[in-house]
Amino acid sequence: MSAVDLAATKPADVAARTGRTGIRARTARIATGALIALLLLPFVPVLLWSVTRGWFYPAILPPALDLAAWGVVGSPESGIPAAVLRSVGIALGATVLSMLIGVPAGRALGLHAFPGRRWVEALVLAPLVVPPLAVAMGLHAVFLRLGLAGTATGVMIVHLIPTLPYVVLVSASVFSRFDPRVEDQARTLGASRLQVLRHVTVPMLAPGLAVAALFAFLVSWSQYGLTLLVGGGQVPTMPLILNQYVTAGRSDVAAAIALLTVLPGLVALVLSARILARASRRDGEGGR
Amino acid sequence: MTDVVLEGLTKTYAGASAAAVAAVDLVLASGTLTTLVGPSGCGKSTVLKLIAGLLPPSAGRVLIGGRSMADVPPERRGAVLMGQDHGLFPHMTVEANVGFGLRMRGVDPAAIRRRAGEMLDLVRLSGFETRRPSALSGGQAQRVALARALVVDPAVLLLDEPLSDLDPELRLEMRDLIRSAQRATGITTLFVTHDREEAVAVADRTAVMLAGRIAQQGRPDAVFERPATRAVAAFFGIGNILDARFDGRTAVTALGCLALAADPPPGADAVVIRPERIGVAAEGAAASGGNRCAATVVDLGYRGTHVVATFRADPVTLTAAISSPIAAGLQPGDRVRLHLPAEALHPVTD
Repeated sequence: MSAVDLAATKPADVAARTGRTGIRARTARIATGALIALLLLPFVPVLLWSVTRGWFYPAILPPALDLAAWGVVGSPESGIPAAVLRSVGIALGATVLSMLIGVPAGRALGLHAFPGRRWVEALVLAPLVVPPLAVAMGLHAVFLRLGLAGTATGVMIVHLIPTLPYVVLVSASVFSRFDPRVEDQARTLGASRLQVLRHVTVPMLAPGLAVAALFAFLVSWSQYGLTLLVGGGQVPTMPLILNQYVTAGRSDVAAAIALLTVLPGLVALVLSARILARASRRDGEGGR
Repeated sequence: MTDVVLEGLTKTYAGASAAAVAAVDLVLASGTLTTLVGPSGCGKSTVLKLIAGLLPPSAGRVLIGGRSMADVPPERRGAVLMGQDHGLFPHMTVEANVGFGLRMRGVDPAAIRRRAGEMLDLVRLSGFETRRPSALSGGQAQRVALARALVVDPAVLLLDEPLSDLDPELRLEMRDLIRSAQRATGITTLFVTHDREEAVAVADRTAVMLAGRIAQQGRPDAVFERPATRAVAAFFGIGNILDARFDGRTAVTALGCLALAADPPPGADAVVIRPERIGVAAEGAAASGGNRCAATVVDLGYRGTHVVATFRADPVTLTAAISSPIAAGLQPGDRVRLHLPAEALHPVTD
């Protein structure tokens, strides 16, 4: 093939390639759409349940619009608004506590090589491997003696069992990509310790640590077994309330509560996706 | 203009048995570029950190411009560190990176922009202001790092292996850029490297650091040609080390008596000769003067610019760097006469 032929084939080749990218883009769009549908479709009946009553087989469509369930959810007598606040409070507390403990631990694991690091990493993962309930059974006795059983504080502390591994592992990976020599250079360029923290360290680590915090919040928020065991039913969080209404057969209220409990997860998903997208844009492809 | 004086500077890391930096005395004259060269792990990077104030010394002190730095934090020493990998802040644009030091000093934004622009101009990266470090090549990133260091008008510039992550061609370009910027600004500079050629190529003065100590310092050519000790000779690639006793200007070696051009220093116990200073002649060639010996060619290694020839002159082995035309007439097994010129023979201590 001569050079002229080669040149002549170029536009066609380009066209073929753009055609291929077009197909690929379309496939990606369809796949994304399917995935979203798969994730969101189960919520359609839940949404419908929450705005109707007495919708039973063989009726295909709900009989009538009924907002009673949302009324229950919103009324102070049902205890649900209080439960929302309680759940948020416990999840926030568990997040703060696990960040305070987990981030320094993650920093040590991510930045320093020390003998036995693999063992420590395995131990950190242990609460995810061993059923947390088994651990909590033992802890319950201790909590009883300390007067923590049946209290929101006790529940918050016991939530650390599943939240800490996430925080430690995520922040370890954040720190392992962080080069502390950058801090040294910032110091010599004229930044005080505080300025380095504010202008260099925190902005570099914040996206990753925000994701760790989101994980902790969500894990605590959706905790059922540990809350029931240590709270002894005296600390009704959202998952517990939800369970009550499910077993009581109030599927409309249960559906409304279910939608409420899903909300933080969706917010967190969108937030963390945005944080990660921004961080990866910053790091560039294959960047440090 | 600022000079830097290190007095008995010592650093022993917690838990380490030997000092990483042991009683280092070094003077960086105002406006000069000094290279600190040594194998990895010899403590040279620790010296930089001690000067920068990133580590407290175990003993000794650092004076910058005649002032003791004992209680001065890094941000107020005026000594800027530029690291091995550029160390740019990944979350800032190129312009924000360059302007960082000025921003920390509270300089007004318009002035920062102007100064950052000037510095990017100096390192030939105008137009890169809004890029992120991840969108730069290694050489560009290193130039931004240089601009970021120079923009604060430092009294001292501390360069920690600034070229070691770069490709060979970029290395030369960056080396020249650093040198010309240093000359233009007159910033007292300490340039740490493990590369011997780099060390002698850019420097006003060179200090050789071995196992935490300054083994020798002086003009680059003096250090390169006339090592003081066997260890420095070996570090600069001189394999030709002959044990010797000295009798005036005569060295008694396994090759016989060799004449020297100067009196040996006290304590000298060997002579060395750089490979490129050994002369090679055919066995029957007319030989005038001393310092000659018979030898057999063992091996010839082509290196492009020269040929590394190994000779056996019983009981020692000598290595010479010879030109290709001379090597072309040689084969392993050939008998030759080697000439070790008196002015190239250099006595060393242990």
